Amino acid sequence: MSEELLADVFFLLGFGVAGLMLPMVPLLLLRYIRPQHPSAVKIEPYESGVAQTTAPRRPFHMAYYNFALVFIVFEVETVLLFAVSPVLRDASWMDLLKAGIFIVLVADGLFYAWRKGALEWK
Amino acid sequence: MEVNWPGWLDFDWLDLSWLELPWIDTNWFHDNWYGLLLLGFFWGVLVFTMVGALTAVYVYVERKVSARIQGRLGPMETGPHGLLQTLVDVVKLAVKEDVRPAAADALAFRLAPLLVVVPAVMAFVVVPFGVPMVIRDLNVGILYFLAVPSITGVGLLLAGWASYDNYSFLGGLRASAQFISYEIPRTLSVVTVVMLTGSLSSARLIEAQADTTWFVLLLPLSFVIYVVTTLAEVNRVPFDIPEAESELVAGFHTEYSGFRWSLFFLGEYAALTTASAFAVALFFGGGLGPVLPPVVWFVLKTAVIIFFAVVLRFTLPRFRQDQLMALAWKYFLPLSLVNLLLAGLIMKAVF
Amino acid sequence: MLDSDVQIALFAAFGGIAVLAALAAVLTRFLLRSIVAFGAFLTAIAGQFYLLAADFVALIQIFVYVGGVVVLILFALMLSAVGEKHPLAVSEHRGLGAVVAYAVGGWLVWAAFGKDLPEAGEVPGETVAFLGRAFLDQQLVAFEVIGIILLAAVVAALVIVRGERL
Repeated sequence: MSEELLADVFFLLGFGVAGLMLPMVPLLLLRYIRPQHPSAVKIEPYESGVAQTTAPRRPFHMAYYNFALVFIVFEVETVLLFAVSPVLRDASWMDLLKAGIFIVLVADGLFYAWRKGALEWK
Repeated sequence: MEVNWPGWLDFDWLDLSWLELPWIDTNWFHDNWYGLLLLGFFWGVLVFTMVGALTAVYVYVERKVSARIQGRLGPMETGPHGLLQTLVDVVKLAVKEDVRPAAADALAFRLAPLLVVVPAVMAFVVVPFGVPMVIRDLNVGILYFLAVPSITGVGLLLAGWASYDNYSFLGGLRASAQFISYEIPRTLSVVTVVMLTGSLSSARLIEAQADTTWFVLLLPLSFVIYVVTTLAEVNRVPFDIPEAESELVAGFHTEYSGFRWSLFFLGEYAALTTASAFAVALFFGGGLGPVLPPVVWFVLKTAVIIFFAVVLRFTLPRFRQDQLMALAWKYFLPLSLVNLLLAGLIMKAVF
Repeated sequence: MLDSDVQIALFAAFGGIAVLAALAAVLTRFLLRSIVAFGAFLTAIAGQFYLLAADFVALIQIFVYVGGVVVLILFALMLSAVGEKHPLAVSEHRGLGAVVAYAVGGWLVWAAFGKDLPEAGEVPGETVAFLGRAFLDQQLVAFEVIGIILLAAVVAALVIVRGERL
């Protein structure tokens, strides 16, 4: 079996190289066709035509970070379900129950986050 | 688990061994590592070009359909009925000046479009066109299809950050927050399909649907969740706040111009095309259908879903960002958890 | 020709990329490049997992780590007041740190080359089916405990980040 997996690795590597090169090569080659007339106005950020008043990259809402945290936990749980679900088809009711308990635990986490207001505001 | 198709329909065209070229022994490609690299490279080039061409067609179709919906004609000047419009647009984008804000972080600015395009195209490797016809039938194909495009989230964030621009930054944050929020319900809906399939291989997906019926009939809720969350992942209406024209100029890709911008565009449409194709494989039996060859059926079904997405774009208003996030976490995620339990019962009933 | 020489070469390639990426992540002064290098490192590790015939784990690595943890860290970077450039940290404890680092590194090298390592077990044909079965049979307790730990993780993360009182 690892023969086949090894073959997959090489195939995907080749595919990945092609996938990386195909956007990059035209980008690099077209540089010789593109006009290049940099001016002071062009290199300013756009911001709807108004001059930039506040510098970007300053601290922002924490809400985004809350979502990312909860997302990580659920992603791990999803991945475990991915491992378990292919065998569930020919499995017994007990196995379904085991997976069900896991799902309930995870739902509990979601319920907690919801109640604590971590899922509010964008 | 045998799918009995008449002779030539069962043929694996993608295997390329039917090419009786006298100077090339196609088996050689599978036996050693440089052969495999070359094969992968060849398929990569082919798929990328094909996706590019499909996107061009897709853009044209969208402009025409949207025009009809809005009571106008759409592109008519360039070429008969505007057929050359997309080609002309591509040429224009290619020779546009590459304007880059001075304060933009060079590495991130250049890397971000690649991180959006490449995963979307790489996901195409596991899309099954017919039962034997997958470009590469990985053992964990379905997980691969969900895992590789998740890198796009990083790309969106980098794009918003790299452009030294408040609005782009906000657009990037919103885009990636939306992206990761909808990833979980989407993955969970695919888990229900995996439960019915018994394997993570995409070829087995089609075989399982050949045995039982199309999964859309068994798991309608999963289908609905999958389609809606996929539209949200790809930033299509009604979830296109991150790139809405009236909201944040162009969101996270405001500062990108010309060819670099078109890479984002390509990535979005490629992701949508791949996801629609996989939706057909997951829920509508891929290439299964009487009489016509599987590829034709597959293309037809995918076209229907893409058409639906296009029509939806010009029919619905867009969600506000907080509505969007609330929808993901408070509505779709609990729904998909319940759907998991439900799918378990359905699975036991069928098998 | 897909034999052990090729595997070793591929292992060296992935390992080399991983080491370079890790060095880049540690030595650069721009935080963003550090995180991007970290992402590259994780992808190289995913490749290593594939070489160990753990295709499922490799994809999980990409899905959770590159698609999730890197996004989380980027959020943390972008939403905080940390500047983009930081000087290479010069810690007060660098003497002790160097001793510990060299000791651990030396021990790992000795363990890898010195003693006889046990043979790897048989690779199951269907890795995912094997894992799934294991989670439901032998490792059931571990599986459910992971669920509990994830629940605890949600609670703990929210307590830490939002200062909640549980």
